Amino acid sequence: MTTESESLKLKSLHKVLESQDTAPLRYLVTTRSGAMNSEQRSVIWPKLLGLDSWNPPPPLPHLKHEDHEQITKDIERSFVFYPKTNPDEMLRLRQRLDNLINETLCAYPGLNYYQGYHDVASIAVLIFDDVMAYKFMTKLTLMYLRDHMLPDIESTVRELKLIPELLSLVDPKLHALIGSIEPLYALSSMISLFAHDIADFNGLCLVWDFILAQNSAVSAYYIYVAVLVFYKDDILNDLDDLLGKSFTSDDTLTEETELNLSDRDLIHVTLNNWISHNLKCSHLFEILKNAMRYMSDFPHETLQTTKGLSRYSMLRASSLDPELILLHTSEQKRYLKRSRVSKALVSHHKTLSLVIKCSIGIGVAGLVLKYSLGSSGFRPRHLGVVHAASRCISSAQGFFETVFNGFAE
Amino acid sequence: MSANRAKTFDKTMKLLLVGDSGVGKSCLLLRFVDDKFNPSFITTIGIDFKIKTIELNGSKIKLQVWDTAGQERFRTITTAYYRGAMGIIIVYDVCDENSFESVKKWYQTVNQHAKDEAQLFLVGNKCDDTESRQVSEKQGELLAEELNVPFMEASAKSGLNVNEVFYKLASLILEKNGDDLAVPTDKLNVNQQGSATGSSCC
Repeated sequence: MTTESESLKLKSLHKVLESQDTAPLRYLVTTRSGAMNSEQRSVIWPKLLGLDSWNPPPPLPHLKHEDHEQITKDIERSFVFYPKTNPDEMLRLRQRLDNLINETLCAYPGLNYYQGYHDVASIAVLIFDDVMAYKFMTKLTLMYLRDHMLPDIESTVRELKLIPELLSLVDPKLHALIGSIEPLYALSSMISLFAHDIADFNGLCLVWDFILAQNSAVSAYYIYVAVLVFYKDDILNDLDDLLGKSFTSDDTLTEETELNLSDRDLIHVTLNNWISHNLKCSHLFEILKNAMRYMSDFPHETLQTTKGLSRYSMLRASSLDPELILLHTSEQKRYLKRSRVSKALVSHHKTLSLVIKCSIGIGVAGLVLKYSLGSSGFRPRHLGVVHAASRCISSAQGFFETVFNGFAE
Repeated sequence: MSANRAKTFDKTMKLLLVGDSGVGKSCLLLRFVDDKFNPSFITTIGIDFKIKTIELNGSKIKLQVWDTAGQERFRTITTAYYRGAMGIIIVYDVCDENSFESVKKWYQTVNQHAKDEAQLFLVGNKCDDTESRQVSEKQGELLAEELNVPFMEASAKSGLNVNEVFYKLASLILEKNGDDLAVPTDKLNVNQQGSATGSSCC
């Protein structure tokens, strides 16, 4: 961007910031160079997130969240890529990060810490003062991260399935190759809103400009898919080399592309590291524009994955009522219990078939007994039949106990 | 095209690093694969691997070493990878007693999810840091005896025993499995000395 167009954009940004309507601002930050720089972002991001009318509970300083041991470990590994600063300043930044994470997590009941949340919060530390960082993180957490903060990771794993589904719509060819791979390769980028994987501060901020301008947590998934599609040829080239196949030739990729375990491992690791190793910030603007196009071409409300998500999910419920975290948590617990019970049923299907076979056996044995006893009196060899019958009954008992316990839990 | 590439290894082995968060799993792997050490290392989220080809008893062995996130909440996704592992290294930090106490928990998780024949190995990392040490080498040895697994103290920072751990583990697996590890002749691959994707983190 030339100095002239820079100052022109700055002027426009200042002008739209005065307006109550955020639509012009949302449009302007999705043009080249986004919200420009940290100084502008410290004013623009709160506006995009609607912090003027946001009143979180007052922060409780010195209160440690129950996950604070993990938080401490991760804070020791924070600010790795940026800023380049002296040890004293680094200590101060990490102290601020520690306070911010603990205060934000303690603001609402039911929030669990995950590794990667510290990457998100470190951006807030670098852009805002402590007061605004707390306001920003409380709302960002409820709106963009809360589904990743339930006691387990299941809801995150479910949301990641948006990636293969979107890919099947945007680029069926690429989907034919990688669509069947569990999308855990996208985990770190999605739960950290790319902060874990994009090592360039300005590049990451540009991504956040777009995400915040879209006013929707699902935009991160569209950006991820846009990255894969943008680098499709490079990804296929790398996979050609690694897998010793020729995915770059058009006829190799079909819906029936079969992959063995080692192929799948190599695809996972290639995608897992793609953003951190291969994404170029000079490509970001085009990628983000493509993501916006996908958002309007394939709205997420129409996707099967979205429809399958909890109604308390941040991707479905428009409300930011913190109560939703607790509702989502208990729904999730019920779901896990149910799936434990069905697993118990599956693992006992052998017992079940044994029970049926034995029932038939008992019937037959009964007839034999009846016949034998009636004709020639009771003989010791019939004891075997009686033992077998009692074994069947006890295994049936075990099976029903497991199922009932599962429901009772 | 890659069809002309010669196979550059005779056998392939999948190994897995597990242990509490912050014990230095990724650093051990980086030291082994790239012979580097980075004191400020980002956290591992999810699961990743690096590849290094080593020579053992005259054969070339491709080691695919999986690195896992240490935080409990990621365990449901990382345990899915245990079954494919021939060797599993449980790592603790000799300067962190809690991580040592977690070893038994990791041992149980591994036994629950890995193949019965998987070879385990216990490693006490950061043994260069004598000032902060909380777990003695003797304690490590005793625990290893109790669990009946081989044990070594190592340091990703100084490089001490890092190669030894991986070579020892590979040779134990080799003894157990022998020719079962041979790679089918039609399976071609590239020379992946070093990292699969130049990865240094995650």
